[in-house]
Amino acid sequence: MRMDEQELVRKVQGGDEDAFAEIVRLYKDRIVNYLSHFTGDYQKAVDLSQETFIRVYFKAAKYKPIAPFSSWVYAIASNLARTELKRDRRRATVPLEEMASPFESGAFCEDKPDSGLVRNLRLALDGLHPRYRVPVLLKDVEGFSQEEIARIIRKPVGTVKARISRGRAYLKRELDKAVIDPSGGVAVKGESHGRA
Amino acid sequence: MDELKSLGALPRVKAPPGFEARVLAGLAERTALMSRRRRVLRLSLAGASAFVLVGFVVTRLFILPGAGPERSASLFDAAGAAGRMIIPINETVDYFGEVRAASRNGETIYILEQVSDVISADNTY
Repeated sequence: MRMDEQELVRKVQGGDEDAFAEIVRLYKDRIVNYLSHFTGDYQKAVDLSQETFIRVYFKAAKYKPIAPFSSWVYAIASNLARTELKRDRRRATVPLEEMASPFESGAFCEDKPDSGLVRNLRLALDGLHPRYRVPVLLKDVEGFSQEEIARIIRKPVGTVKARISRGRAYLKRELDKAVIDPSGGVAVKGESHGRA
Repeated sequence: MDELKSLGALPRVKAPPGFEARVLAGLAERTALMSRRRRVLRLSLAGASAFVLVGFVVTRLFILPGAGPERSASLFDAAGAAGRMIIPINETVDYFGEVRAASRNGETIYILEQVSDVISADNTY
């Protein structure tokens, strides 16, 4: 954890809103990106990120500098995302094909994606149970170590390793099933609603 | 597994412009909401306490007025006017000791029953 970050957290614990704004500035892109991949919905990711930072402010007093601050912020974001996903399952669902993808529209994207592969990955990620999706995204997208992920999800490192491995195996299986047609669209061989 | 490596190459998205301002506005709104809730809770607690206190006073003064010292004083006055004498007797009974003694003697059954309709403070001899 960087010294200046620790100092910022201490100030936020004292109710300093300028320090809080600085923390938001430091983490906003990472958290929005993570939640966007987790939920598959950019707008929802932005709303969840906003809620994540508000919780960071109100729960700052509970933060203990024994773990990196980033792990703590990601833990809050992951918990919120999981809760939101559970809530979504209870509501009526909208087919993915009918939703506009933020990746395809290119809004706030840094890179131009390969739409076929991205769409396949998106579909596979959507089918992946949150129990496996969180560690896989934290490892392969956000670049956390297994130890850091263990701290974020509060599970032993062995459990994290197993979940990453099972999550990746599920994604590979789903990607193998997918066939990219010449027009750039994606066809999926058979239905794959199973969870890893 | 080459495709899985693409997970790291998934297009990175950024927070929209004005995100920090939205967060800070949300924070201000939440703070105001919490402060309002705290005020409502404080007022509710104060109101409930006041209601209980008023209820107690009303019950004591208007619904159960007879058991207070004023009633005893009025009885003394009435008896004095009638030429009778009232001797107040406060009888203390150690029921705990009675029951303890009873437990040593299994054959004994104590039946405690009220023999007068009036409370002991009002017994006249």
